[in-house]
Amino acid sequence: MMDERQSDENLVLKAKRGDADAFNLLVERHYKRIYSLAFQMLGNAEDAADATQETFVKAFEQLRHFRGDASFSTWLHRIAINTCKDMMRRNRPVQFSQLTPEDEHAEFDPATLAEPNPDEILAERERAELVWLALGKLPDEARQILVLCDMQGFSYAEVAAILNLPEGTVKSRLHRARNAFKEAWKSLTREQIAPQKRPKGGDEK
Amino acid sequence: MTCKEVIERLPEYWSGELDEATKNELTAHLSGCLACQQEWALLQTAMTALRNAKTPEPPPELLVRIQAEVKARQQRKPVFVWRWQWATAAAVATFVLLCLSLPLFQRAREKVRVSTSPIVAERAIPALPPPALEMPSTIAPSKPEISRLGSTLPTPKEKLAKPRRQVLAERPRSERISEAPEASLKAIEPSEPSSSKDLPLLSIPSGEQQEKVGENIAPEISVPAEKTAPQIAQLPSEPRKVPFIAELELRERVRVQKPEPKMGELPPAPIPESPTGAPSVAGAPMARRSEGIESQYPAMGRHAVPPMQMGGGQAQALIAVPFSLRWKNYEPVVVGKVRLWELSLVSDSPQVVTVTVQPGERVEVLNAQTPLGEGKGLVLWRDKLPALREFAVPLLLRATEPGARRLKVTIETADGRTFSWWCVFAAVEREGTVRIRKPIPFQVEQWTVLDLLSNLAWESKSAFIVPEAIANRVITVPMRTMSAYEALTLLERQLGGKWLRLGNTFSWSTPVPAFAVPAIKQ
Repeated sequence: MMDERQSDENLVLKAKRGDADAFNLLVERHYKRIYSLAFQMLGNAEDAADATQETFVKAFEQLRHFRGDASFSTWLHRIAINTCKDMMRRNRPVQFSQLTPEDEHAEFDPATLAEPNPDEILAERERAELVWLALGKLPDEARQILVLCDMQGFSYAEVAAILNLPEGTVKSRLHRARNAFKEAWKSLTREQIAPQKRPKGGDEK
Repeated sequence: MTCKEVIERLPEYWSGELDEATKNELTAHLSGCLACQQEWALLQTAMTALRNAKTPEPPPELLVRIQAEVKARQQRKPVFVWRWQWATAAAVATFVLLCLSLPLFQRAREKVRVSTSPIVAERAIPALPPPALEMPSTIAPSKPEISRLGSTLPTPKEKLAKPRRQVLAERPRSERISEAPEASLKAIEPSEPSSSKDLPLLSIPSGEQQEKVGENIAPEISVPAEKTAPQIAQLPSEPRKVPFIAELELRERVRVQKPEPKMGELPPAPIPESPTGAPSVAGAPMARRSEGIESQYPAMGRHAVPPMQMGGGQAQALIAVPFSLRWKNYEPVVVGKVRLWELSLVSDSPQVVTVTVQPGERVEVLNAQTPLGEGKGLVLWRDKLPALREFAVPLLLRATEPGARRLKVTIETADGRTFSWWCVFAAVEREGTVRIRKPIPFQVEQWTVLDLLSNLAWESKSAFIVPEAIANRVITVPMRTMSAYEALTLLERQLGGKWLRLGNTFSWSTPVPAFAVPAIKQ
């Protein structure tokens, strides 16, 4: 078995030499993070899974062009962001249907059955749903920067590296994006307070 | 500072990036301005919600799916992006290559005949004798790789269009040959004299095609050896297979009921309208035929047939198979695409179950967890089912060409009893909208259930799941034009069962023999 603690760089070198296990290990290490990024960008589980797969396939095919100027993770995130952007361009409008497949599993997970307060969970879920809806209203540029900074927790420098932008631009865009998000949030909460019911994301999967 | 400026700077204020002076100014403004206070509160809530928003865990099969796809790419390396501009050039190149390698083919063919495994030989032989020559288009297309080689000159569009019709024709025949040699002979004989009648739905017999059949005899025979004969090893890189993508999902539920406590009394039937005390289904489903076929799949068990009462210690099984099918968009580079099948087992009690999936031709099962490898039958899962829970077994499939494809799903219980279903589905590109009322001309009277379903699946772009017990039964279909709907009704009538519909999938519902549940210590 391969050493779990090998650095990404090491694994990348091995993978470049054609070591399939090394690349598999890289996939294993990063796919959850990439999936969550894709989910945040695309807003639904199905596209997120497709984008994740596409990201790794692209990474695999482009691996020889990776020179190690940035970290592997940064490079991978850059690919993921671009893949998501491509996908959004391809299938607009973005569907923000939420959590259905996971819900199914959750329903049958004894651990979740033990959860005490369904109301609380519901409220939390509503709030989470609101986040996706609000994100869905933002332009791509704003969404991607919010996802990277506020959801993925990257530093300005890292985001700058991923998006290939100067740090100053990242900052100013982020501030604008946060304000835009607040506005989207505001309009959504108003809608929710208003009597007419928000249409549910009725997508079956 | 105006309110507008304040609001613009609030994000920086929130993240604490303002210099001391501006910060103080803002604080001062906020303390006196109600509107700005509201904005500030809103920003805080929104940002907290954003930062706390949880993203779901990736689906359990994703890792396997990615690794399988990467592996596939690795094997296919260098990745060859096919462009139509290149098609003609490559076609010519292939033709030249073919001419050059023809002697090799001949040799390979000799080799095959000597060295193939019994299975391969069994398949190859029916195609060998002269009748193959007279065979209408149904046989020749069954090996599209080769017939393509023979006809290298048609434009890419022609190539694209052809296999789609051919695959269908190919399906039933090749399957028959591989599964039941005797049956296959029987099936071929009557259809031969009436070449245009044979599998009328699919074939467009034309002089041109028949000609090709003749030309292609030699390579056709050597096809089964494609993998064994090194000379033909270049073939796979020939990217003329029809590219398509489809995503398919199968949800299969096996519900196992505990034996009734009181013997001699039937368990309360799950269906109100079902005749209690009459475990045999024969007449019962007919009354509700239209409802079953038209309605969306209702709550599970609604249409299920009352379970048969079994001796003490055994449980009854109710089989209901919700099964959904969804097609994904078109992707030109990949031939076929990894698909996910989910198999759910619902059980009231813990059980050890083995699930095996046997792909038919041109369907590969990709799954990193399998000990047996691609395209073989594989044991996917063997574990204790948690009580009252559902367990999903993700399967990765790749259909290498469009057409009516099939899979056999077998479930083996701990005591060695097995239950099998055939899943017949249309692997097509883009959206496969169900066309259940589309008129289909039937010009053959006798069909095995599986063959009929293959055709229906393709024509109606839907999927069927049938228990193996009825898959090879022969049914009679009047020779006229009718819809898939009508044909399915005929099946119901002749076999005494019922189709349940979920989306574009139909599943056959009959009582199945009871599962023998291994003794469970409560």
